[in-house]
Amino acid sequence: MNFNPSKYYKYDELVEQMNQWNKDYPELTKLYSIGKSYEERDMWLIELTNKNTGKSEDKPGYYIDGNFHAGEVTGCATAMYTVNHLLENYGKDKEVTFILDNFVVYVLPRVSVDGAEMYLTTAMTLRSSTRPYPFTEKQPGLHIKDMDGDGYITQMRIKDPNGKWKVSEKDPRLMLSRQPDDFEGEFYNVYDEGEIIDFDGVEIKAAQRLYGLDINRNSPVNWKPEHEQKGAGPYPFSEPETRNVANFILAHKNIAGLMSYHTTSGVHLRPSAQKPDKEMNKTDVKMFKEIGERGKEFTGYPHVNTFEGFVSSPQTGIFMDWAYENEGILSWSTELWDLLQRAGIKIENFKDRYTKKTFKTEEEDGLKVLKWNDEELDGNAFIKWRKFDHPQLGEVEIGGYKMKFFRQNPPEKLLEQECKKNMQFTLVHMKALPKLEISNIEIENVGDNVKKISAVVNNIGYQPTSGTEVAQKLKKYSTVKVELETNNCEVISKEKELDLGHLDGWSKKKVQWVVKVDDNSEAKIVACSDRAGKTENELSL
Amino acid sequence: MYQPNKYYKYNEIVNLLENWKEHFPDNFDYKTIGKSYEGRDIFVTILTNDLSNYKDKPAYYIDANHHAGEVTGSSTALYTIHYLLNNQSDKKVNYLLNNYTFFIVPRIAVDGSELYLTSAFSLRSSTKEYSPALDKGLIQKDIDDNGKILQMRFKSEVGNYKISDKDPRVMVKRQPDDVDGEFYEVVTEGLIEDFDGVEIKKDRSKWGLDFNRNYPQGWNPEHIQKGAGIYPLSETETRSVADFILENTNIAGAMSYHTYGGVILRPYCTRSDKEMNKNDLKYFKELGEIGEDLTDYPCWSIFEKFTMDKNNPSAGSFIDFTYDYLGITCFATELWDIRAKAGLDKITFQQRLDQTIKEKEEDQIKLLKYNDEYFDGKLFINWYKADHPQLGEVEVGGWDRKFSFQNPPEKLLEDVCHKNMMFTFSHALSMPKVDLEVKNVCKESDKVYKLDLVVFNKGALNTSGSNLAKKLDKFNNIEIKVEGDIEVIGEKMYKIDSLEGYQKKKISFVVMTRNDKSVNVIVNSKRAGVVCKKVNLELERN
Repeated sequence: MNFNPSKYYKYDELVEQMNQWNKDYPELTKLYSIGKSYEERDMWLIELTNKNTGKSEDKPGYYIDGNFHAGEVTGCATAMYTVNHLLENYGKDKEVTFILDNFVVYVLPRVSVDGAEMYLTTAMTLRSSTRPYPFTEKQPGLHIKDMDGDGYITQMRIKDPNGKWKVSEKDPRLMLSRQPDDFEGEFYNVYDEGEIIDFDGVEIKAAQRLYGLDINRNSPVNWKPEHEQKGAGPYPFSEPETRNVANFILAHKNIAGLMSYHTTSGVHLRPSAQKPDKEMNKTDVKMFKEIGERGKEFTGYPHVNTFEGFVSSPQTGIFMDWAYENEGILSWSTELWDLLQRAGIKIENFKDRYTKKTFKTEEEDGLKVLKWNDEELDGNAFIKWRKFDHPQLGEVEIGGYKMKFFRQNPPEKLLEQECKKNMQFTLVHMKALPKLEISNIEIENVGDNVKKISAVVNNIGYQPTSGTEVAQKLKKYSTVKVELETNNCEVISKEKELDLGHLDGWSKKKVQWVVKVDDNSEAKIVACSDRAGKTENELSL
Repeated sequence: MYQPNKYYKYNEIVNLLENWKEHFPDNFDYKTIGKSYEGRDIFVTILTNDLSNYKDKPAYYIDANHHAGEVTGSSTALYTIHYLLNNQSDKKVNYLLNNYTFFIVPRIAVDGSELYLTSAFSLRSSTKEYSPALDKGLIQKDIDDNGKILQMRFKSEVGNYKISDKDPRVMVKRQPDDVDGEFYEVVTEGLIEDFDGVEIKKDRSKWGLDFNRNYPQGWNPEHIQKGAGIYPLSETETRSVADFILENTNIAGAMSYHTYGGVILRPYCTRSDKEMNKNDLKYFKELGEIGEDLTDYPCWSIFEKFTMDKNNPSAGSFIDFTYDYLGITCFATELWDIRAKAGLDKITFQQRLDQTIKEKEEDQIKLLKYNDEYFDGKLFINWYKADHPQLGEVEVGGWDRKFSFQNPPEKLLEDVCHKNMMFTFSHALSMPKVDLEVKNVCKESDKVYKLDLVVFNKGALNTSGSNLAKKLDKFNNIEIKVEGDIEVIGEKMYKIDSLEGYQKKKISFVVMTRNDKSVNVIVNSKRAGVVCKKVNLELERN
C-alpha cells in the first residue's frame, strides 16, 4: 500500500498506514499507543530512528504532532508526509540519513482522534474533543446542523429590514456588512446553517456549542478557567488526550525540539501567547528568530511571537507555551495553509484578521477569495444561495463556502505542496538539535604506567545541550556528564565523572583524567546529557 | 435669500431663521437657548416632520462656532438647514426628517464672530476681556487701517528670520550657523504694551477665554489649561449649550464644527484609545471611515493625533463632555485644509513641531504657489512699508489668515459645507430608533386576547446611544405597555435595559377587553424615540 500525499486519512486508514510503515521499516520504526481518547480510540505514535546507531532514549529527540484541533487535519497529513519522507529516503538522502542516524523523531499524527473522525465523516465541525462540555445537553440557541442534507454546513440568510448584512452589488454570492448609515436597501440576517433549540419565534442567537472544549487551552501554563478562557476545561490536563501527550513528553526527557501543527493562516507561531518578546529570554528569542528565518526560506511563511503577531489578547493554557515555559523545549506551532495570501490579500499583522477593515476592503477581500475559488477550483468551493424551507424559520436561503477543504484545510490537490514545504521547516529545526561528540582524544604517557587522557567534548548542534536557556533555569534536565568508564584501571585524578554543566550551541570543553594502567586495562569516555544524547569512545590504552 | 458661498453676520442669520420659519412652518422652528455676554440670542433650530412630536424622536445635535473665528462651521450649519428644508423629496432627507429630529445651533460665539467678521480683529471665543496672569505683551492692531491684521517685519541683527531666496514673500528661520546676511524680527501687527523702546513682547490677547475649555469633563483651571475660565460652564454661552443638551435627553448623536485642518476628530480629548470601550472605539472608527470616504478628511482621536502635549492634553472640551459624561457619540470636524489644496500631506501637531527649517520653507512655497494659481496671489499681502508709532519704519505683510488658513475663501465654501453635511447625515442615520410590530394575536376567549409583539431597534447604535451610555445607566430603560379600555392580565409593563443595533425582542401581553377591541401599544425610550401603535385585536388576530 502506497502512502497517498493528497489524501486526508480517516482513523482506520491512518492506523493501517502507520502499521504498514512499521512493517516496511522495522529497523527504523517503533509503533505504540500513548493512551486512549475520550471515545477510547488509541492515540498511535510512531518513533523514527536508526536503531543500529543507538537507542532512541540516548539520542536528542524531536517531537511532532498534528490535529490538536479536530478540524485541522492538514497537520495530520503533514506529520504523515514527514514520516513517509524520512523512511523512504533513509540511506538515499544525506539530510534524512543524518537525522535518523543521530536523532529520534517522535510523530503523533493525530491528537484529537475522535473529533477528527466526526469532522471527516460527517458534515459536523467542532474544535477538539467530542466530550460534551461545559453542558451535557444542547443549550438554547442556534446549533449548527446540515439542514438541507447536502453534506455541508454553510450559512442561512433571511431577508429582514433589520438585517445586519447586504448583498454585494459586484457579486451576488458575497454578503457584506451593513454600514451604520445604510437606511435603505435589501438587508439580510446571516446565520450558521442550523436549528434553534427553544426558539421563541423571534430571537436567533448562536448557542453555547455542545462540543465546547478547546484542548489547546487545557495545559497548565497560565491556565485560566472557563469564564476567563473559553474551552479551557475543568482543570489543566483534565482531558485524556492532553494528559496522554503530556505524560509522553514528560517521560521522554530527550525531547529538545517540538512542532505542534495547526491550521489556518500560513504563519509559524512561537512562544509566547501571553507576553511580548521583551519579557522573554533574549537568547531563546534569538534562537527562535534564526531558526524561523531559515525555515521561512522553504515555506515563505513569517514567524512571529504569538502574542505580538497572532492573537488579539493573551491566550492561556496553550500546549506550545507549556512545552517551552514548563519544560524548556524549543517549540513551534505552524498554522498551515494560507488561503487569504494566495487570493492576493496582504496581511500586515495576523492579529487583525478578525477585525473588520474598511468597508471597501471587506468587499475587495471578499471578491478576491471568490475569484481564487473560481480560478483554482472552478467555483466549486462556494454553494450558491438557494431557497430552502426551514422547519422553524420558514423560507430562507442556504449557501456559502464549503469551509473544510477550502478555508480550514487546503483542497486535496494542494495538500502535498503544503505538507512538503512545512516538513522542510521541521527538518531545518531537527538539524539544529543539540548533539554531543567527543573528539581530539590524546593519551600521553606521564610516568610508570600512568597515562594522561585528554579529550574534547563538543556540542555540535545549534541549540544548547539543555535545549533552551529557559530549560537551564528549570534545572529539570541533566547537564553534560562525562565519565571515564574503566576496567582494570585506576583513576588517579579527582573525579571519574566530570560535570561540564550545559554547553552552549556550537561550543566545546576540554576533559582530562590521569589513570594507572596495566596490560588488561580498558577504558572508554562516555558523554551524555538528557537532551544532547549519549556518545562514547573506546580508548586504546 | 440664502446663498451657500457666504459668511453670515448675526443679523443676517436672524433674517434667515425668520424666513425659514415663514416658509416651512410645519418642519422648522427656532428658539433661544440663552443670551451671550453682550446680550445677543443664541439660537437653536428644530427640524423634523411634524414638529409637535419632536421630543419623541431621537435627535441629532449640530453646533458651530464655539470659536469666534471658525465661521465655516456656521456656514455649514446654515447650509444643512437649507438643504434639509429644500430637498424633502430626497429619500435620505425624507427618511431623516421622518425618523429623527435635528437640533442645529448655527453659532455659539455670537459676539466674537461678529467682531471677527466686522473688524480686523481675531479672537478665540468671547468678547469678554479676560487674560488673567498674563504679563503685558503685544496686542494685535491694524496699525495702517487696511482692514487686516497681518505681520510686521523689521531688520535686526538679532533677528531670527531671513527672507527666503526661493520666494521673497516667505520668511524662513535663521540657521544656527547663519552669521552673514540680513535678518529680521517678525511679529504680529500690533502695539506693544509698556514698550521700553527695545524689547518686543509676546502676543497677548485681551480676549483669552476659550469656550471649548470651559466644559466640565476633565476641567482644569487657568494655570494648567489656558482659556478655561474661572470655573466650568462659567460662561453663559457654554452654560446655555450644556443646559440644552441635558434637557433634551433624546439627543443621540452630535457634531460640533470647528476649523481648521481638514480632520474629523473623535473622542477622547484627554485619554488614549486604550481606555475607550472597545465596541465604541470600533463604531467611531467605522463612522470615521465613512467620513473619510465622503470628505477626504482622515478621522483622528484628538488625544492620539491632535494634541500638542500628551502629558497635558486639552481639558474641558465639549466633545469629551458629550461623550464621556453623557455617552453621546460625538464628532468635532475641523473643517477646511488649505495645505491639502496646495498638495501638502496632513500632519499632526507633533509632526509640525518636528518639521525642519527646510520643510517649513518648502511648505510655504507650495502654499504660495496654490495662492498664485487659484487666487491671483490675493491671499497673501506682499510686504509693504508702513509707519509704526513705536518701531518707526516697518514692513507689513503676510497671509490674510481669516479667509485662507482659518476659513476657506468664499468661493470654496459650498463644497466644504456639502461634503461635511453628508457626513453628519451618515452619523445621524446610525442613531438608534425603536419600532414595533405585531407578530401574533390569539383570541383566548370572548374577551381575552394574547398579543405577541416584536420590539426592535432600527438603528445601528444601541438604544442607549453607545456602550458607554449603557454603562452610565441613565439612558437605558425601554418601557413597553398597553393602554386602552382594557384590563391587563399579568405583566402590565415590560422594561428592556437596552437593545443593540438591529436587535429585536419578543414581548407578550394578555388583555381583557370590554367593548373597544383596539389597544395602544406604547414603546418609550430615552434616546431611541417613542412609538405608539394602535392595534385592533379583532382585525389582527389569526
